[in-house]
Amino acid sequence: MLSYLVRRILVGLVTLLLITAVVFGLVNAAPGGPAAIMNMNSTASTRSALTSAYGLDRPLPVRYVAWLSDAARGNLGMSYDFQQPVLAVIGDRLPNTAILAGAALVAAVVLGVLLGVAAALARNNWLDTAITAITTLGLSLPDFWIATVLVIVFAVTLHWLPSAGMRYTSGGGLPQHLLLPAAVLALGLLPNLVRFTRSSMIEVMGKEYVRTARSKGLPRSRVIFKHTLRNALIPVVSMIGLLLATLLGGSAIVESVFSWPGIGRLTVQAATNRDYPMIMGVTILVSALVIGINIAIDLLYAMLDPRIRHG
Amino acid sequence: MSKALTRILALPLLCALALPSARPADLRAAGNSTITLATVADPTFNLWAPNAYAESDVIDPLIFSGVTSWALNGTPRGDLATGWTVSRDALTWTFALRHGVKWQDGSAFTADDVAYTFDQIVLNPKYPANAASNFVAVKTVRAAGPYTVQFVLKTPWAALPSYLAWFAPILPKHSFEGKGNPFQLASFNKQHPIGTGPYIMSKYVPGQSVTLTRNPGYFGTMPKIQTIVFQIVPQATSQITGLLSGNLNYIGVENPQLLTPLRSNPNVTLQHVVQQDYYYVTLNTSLAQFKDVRVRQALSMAIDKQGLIAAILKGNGQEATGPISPLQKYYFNANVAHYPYSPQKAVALLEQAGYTRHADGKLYDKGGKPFTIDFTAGQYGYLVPASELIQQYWQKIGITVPLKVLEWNTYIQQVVVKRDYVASFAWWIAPFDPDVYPYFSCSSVGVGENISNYCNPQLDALMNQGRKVTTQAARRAVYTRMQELMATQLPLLFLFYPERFTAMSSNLHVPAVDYDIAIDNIADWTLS
Repeated sequence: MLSYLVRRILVGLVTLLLITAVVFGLVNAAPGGPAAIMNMNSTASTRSALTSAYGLDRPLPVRYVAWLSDAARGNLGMSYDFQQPVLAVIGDRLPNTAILAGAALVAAVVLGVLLGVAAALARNNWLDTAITAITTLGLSLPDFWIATVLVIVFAVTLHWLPSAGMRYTSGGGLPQHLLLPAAVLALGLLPNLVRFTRSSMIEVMGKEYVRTARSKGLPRSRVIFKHTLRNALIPVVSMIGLLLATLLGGSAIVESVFSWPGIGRLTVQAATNRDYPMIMGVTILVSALVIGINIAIDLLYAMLDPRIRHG
Repeated sequence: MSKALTRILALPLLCALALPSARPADLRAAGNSTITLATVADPTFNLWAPNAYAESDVIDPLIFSGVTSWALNGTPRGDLATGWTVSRDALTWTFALRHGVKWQDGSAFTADDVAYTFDQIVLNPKYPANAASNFVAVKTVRAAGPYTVQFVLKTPWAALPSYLAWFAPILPKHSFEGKGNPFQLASFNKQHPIGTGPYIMSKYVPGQSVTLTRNPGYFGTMPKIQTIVFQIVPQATSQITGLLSGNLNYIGVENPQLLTPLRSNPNVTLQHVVQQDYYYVTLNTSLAQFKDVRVRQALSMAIDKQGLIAAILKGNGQEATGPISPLQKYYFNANVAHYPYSPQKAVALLEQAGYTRHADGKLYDKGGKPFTIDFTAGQYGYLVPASELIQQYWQKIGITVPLKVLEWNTYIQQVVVKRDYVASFAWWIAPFDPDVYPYFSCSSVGVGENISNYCNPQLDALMNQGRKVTTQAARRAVYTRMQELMATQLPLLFLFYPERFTAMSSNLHVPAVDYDIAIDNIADWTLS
C-alpha cells in the first residue's frame, strides 16, 4: 500500500511538471502580453521598462527554469496585476471558491443521489421518465442562461435574493448570496449524478445478494439503503471526487455572472490581462488538486470495497 | 408508491423548506448615507502604478487629491494648490499650496510631497510610471518653500494645469521614501492608502468590495454621503441586475444597447452627457495608399456617421469633427470641414486619386489590383459591430474589406505596439484640454499614441505653438486653426463623440454636470 502511494505521488509530480512546462510554453506563445504593457496609453519606453521589470526580456527556457526553481521552494512569484505574491492572492480567493463548490456539491450529491435512487426504483414508469427528462433539460441548458433566469426571477423581480457578490453591504448575508450561484452550479452537476446513481443502483439491484436479502424477508427500505445503495455509491464516490477537483478550480462562468470572488473569476482576469505568474499559479493549484484527489479516491476505494487492494 | 420512494422524494422538499429565507428589506439600501457603487475589478491605490487600470481611475480620486482638479465646467482650478503663476519664458510654473492640509494618517502635507511624487516617482527613469508620458515636458519639480512648488519645464507647456488634474494624484513622501520600487509597495498600493482626498479607504475585501468613509479632516467641501461602498461586479449585465434588484445605487453604462431594462424602471434615474472621448477610424498612413488626403477624405465620406450613431449608440452621440469635443466650449471649432455621407462623392474623389471603378462595381488601383483595406477590430465594447458596419459602408463603394477580429490584448499588441495593421476602429479618452500633441505629433509616430503614424510639420508647428502660449485667448486662436487643419487633413477619420450614461437608484440625487466627471462632484451627491 505504501509503495503504491509513493509510486502514485511520484507519477503525480512528473505529471505536474509536464503540465507546468506545457502551460508555460503556451501562455508565453499566445499573442499579446501583460495588460500593463499592452496598454493603449503606454509609451515605448514604459513598455520596454516593464518588459525588463517582469523579466520578459530573458529567453523562455531561462524564465521557465527560474520559475520552476522558485515554485519548488514555494514561491510562485508576484502577480503582475495585484503586485502581491501569487500564493497570497490565491489564498484569498480559494476559500471563497471552496464555500461555493462545497455548497453546490453537497446540494448536488444529496439531490442527485436521491433522485437517482428514486428513478432506479421507479424504473421505466412516469417518475423515472420525468426525472430523466428534467435532468436532460438541466444538462442541455447552459450555466449562464440558468444563472440569468434565476437572477431575473429571484433578484430583479421578487427581490428575495441578492443578484451578485458574496457579501453586499446593502443587505443579505452569505447564505442568501450563496443560494443562486450554488444552485446554478448544482444544477449543472445534477444530471450526471442522477444518471450515474440510477445506472449503478439498477446494476446492484440485479445482484444475487440483493435478491437473497429480499427473499429473506428484510424490509424494502433496509434492502435499498443498506444493501443496495451502499454498494451502488462506490462508483459515484469517484465521480464526486473528480467533480470536487473541477469545482475547486472555480467556475469561470458562474463566478463571473455572480461576481463571486473565487478562483474561476481570478483565472479569467489573469488570462485576460496575461498575468503570467497568476496563470501558472492557478494552473499548478488546479492540477495538484486533480492529481491529489485522484490519489485520494483510489485510496478511498480500497476502504469502501475490501475486494480492492493496492500493491 | 412505496414508503421508501415517498421518503426519498420528500427529503429535497424538506431541505428546501429548511433553508433560511431572505428578507427583502435586508437587500435594499438602507435609508442612511451609505451608497453602493459598482466597479469592475480590484483597484490599485496608486494611479501611477502601471497595473492601475480603469477601476482605480474611479476610486482613487476620492482618496487622493491633485495639485489641480477640474471645476464642473471643465476648466482647471486649484485643488491642493490655491493658485499658480508662470514665468515670462513659460518654463517655470510656481504653484502656491494650501496650508494646514493633513494626510489621512495625521502627517502634514507640504511641497515636499508634490516634489517627491513627481521627481522620485513619475519622472524617475527607474520606474515605468503610468501616464509618465503625459509629463515628458517636465524637467524637474522642486519645493521652493514648505507651501510652494515649482514645475520646471524643458519646453513650454500651457496645458500643465489641465494635466495635473488628469489622474495625477499626489502621494505622501513619508510612505514611499526609502521603500524601493513605489509600484511594488503592496502595503500602500493594495492595502492601506493614505491620501488627502474627501474619503478614507476604511475597508478592503479583495475581490469583493472597497469601503470608503468620509474624511473628517478633508480640506475641501465635505461630502454629504458618509460611506461609499464600491462593490466589485465585473460584468455589465450583472451591474444592471444589481441596480434593478436594489443592491447597487449607481452604475455607469458604456453600451447603450443595455439601457432598455433601465429606461422602463420607475426606480431608476438615467443621466447622460456627451463625452470628451472620440471614436475614429485610424488608417495606417505609413502605407502609400493612405498618403493621399483625397483617399482619407473619400473614406470618411463613405461612412454614414449618423447611421453609425443610430445603430451602435441608439442615437446617443454626436458626429465628431476632431479631437476636441463640443464639451470644450471655449476651444471647440464647429466651422471646420465636414464629410457628410455620400457614396457617390466618395467614389468620385477616389477616381480623382487614381482609382477606377469597373463593371463589377469594385474599385481598382492604378496597377489594376482591387482596392483592398484589411480592417482589424478589437474585441472590446462595441468595436466589433461598429467595425462590421464600416466594412459594409466601404464595401458598398467597391472596396474589398476583409475584417479580422482580435482579442483585445492581442489587438493592442498588433495595432498599437507593432503598428502592424492597415485600418482599424478605436477611440481615445483625452484630457479636458485642447493640447493633443501626444496623439498627433511626428515625434510619436511609431512609438507613442500617434497610432495612425501621421506626420505633418504644419500640424506639429501649430501644436507646439499651442503649448507655448499661455493666455486662453491666444490658445484658442492656435487651436481653432489646428482643428481646421485636422478636419481637412484627417490624420484620423473622426466619427463620433458618444454620450455616457449613468444609472442610479431614484433615491440618489446626483446634480447634472457639463461633462463626464460625474464622480468628481460627489460632494454634491445626496441620498433621500
